[in-house]
Amino acid sequence: MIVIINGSERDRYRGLINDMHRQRARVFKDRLGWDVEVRDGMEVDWLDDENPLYLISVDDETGRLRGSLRLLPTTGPNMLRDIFSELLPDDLVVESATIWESSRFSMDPEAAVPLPGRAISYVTGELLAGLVETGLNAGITEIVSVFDTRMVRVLRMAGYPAELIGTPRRIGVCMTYAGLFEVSDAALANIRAACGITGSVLQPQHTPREVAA
Amino acid sequence: MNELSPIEAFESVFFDMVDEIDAVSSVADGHMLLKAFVERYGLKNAAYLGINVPGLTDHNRPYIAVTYSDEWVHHYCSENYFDIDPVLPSALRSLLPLDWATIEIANRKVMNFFGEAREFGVGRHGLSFPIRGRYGETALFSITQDCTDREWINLRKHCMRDFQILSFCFHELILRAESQIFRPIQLSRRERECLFWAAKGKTFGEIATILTISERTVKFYLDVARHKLGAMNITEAVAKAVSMNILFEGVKL
Repeated sequence: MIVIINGSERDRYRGLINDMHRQRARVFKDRLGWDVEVRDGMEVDWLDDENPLYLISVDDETGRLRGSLRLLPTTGPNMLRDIFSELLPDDLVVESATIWESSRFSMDPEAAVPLPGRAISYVTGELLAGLVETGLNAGITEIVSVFDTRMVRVLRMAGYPAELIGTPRRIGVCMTYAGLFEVSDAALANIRAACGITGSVLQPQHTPREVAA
Repeated sequence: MNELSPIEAFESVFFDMVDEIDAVSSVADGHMLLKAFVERYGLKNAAYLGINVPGLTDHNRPYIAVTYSDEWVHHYCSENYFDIDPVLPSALRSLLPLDWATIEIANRKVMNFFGEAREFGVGRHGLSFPIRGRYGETALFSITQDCTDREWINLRKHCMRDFQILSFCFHELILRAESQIFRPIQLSRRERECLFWAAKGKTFGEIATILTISERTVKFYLDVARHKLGAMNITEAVAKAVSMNILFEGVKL
């Protein structure tokens, strides 16, 4: 199940958020060897202070964190604009009210095990399906993201291939790409089919109260 | 709306709105467009609220442009509802549009606030779009409606993308119209071409022939360019464009 956490709800989900930062440290620093800052066992960067939207995959039964990703608007501070702008030609700026940026896609190594008979893990599918569902609900038309070669394959197998923009470059230890992803009913159907997902993965929302006439 | 389906009708409304907002750069015109927006989408109200917009808002006074009644605005400000209105702290830190019906009523003050908002005709349903801008500013664009729950759900389903884009268009309009901050001046290709040939001493008629557009259009582009550059006349516009190094970008000769 995907839990959606807005900046305003961070305190309510403090435990889950801290677990996410710890997992990000294990994945990005320890396993992948990225040049990220880890303090007290948590990977946090300045964009985490910009009220991003987090999508967190939790185990339905135990409530334990399995994976997460982070969303930022492309109209404000974001990774592609402020950190990886070298990936885009000078005259290309991705800035739109209907494009979000996804970053810090991370997953528990145990959760990354492919499902029997499939090329992809359930949690990958759940995060991507949750991403597209959330985007559709909010009127978003595309997602932009910066990712490495490893993710290119994962995304293709998950039925959510990127349309590459700009020029890939070697940054630190990995080849780095910028890509655009469609947010549409068709994209959602593709991911669901590739990952064996039926129906919504989002945590049921507390229903809006009836507005009395 | 005669033969158009509701979705198609919204579509033409949307493109007209984007065009019109883009063409406007005065606060008065912006306010008229906010009213037009409300009317064309069949809404009750629309409200823009800017926080820490550079050169426009100081610490404690947000910038407001709304279609609410003067009575409500006056009441809201004099009661200092900025501190009570639960939409503000929530939506300003959110990325998702915030439906007012999902807000928890934390206390009696908040309950009274919503009650009064209803009495002052703010609207039964409300939806706020958070805006984050390139200078680190934040803003909110809210729409309200008096329709049934079912119609509200329908509107949300069909118009979310439109409202996201129009929210940002209004934000940019406010920046253009009100803010002191320096925006890089961008001339369109046609504007640069017209200026370029004007700099070479060509008349309107000659430029029209070279670019195969009408003389009136040439004059239009030059006027727009002159306005963007804040120049009194074409000669000054050319001089400014040259000094800013933006005259020769991409001019095909």
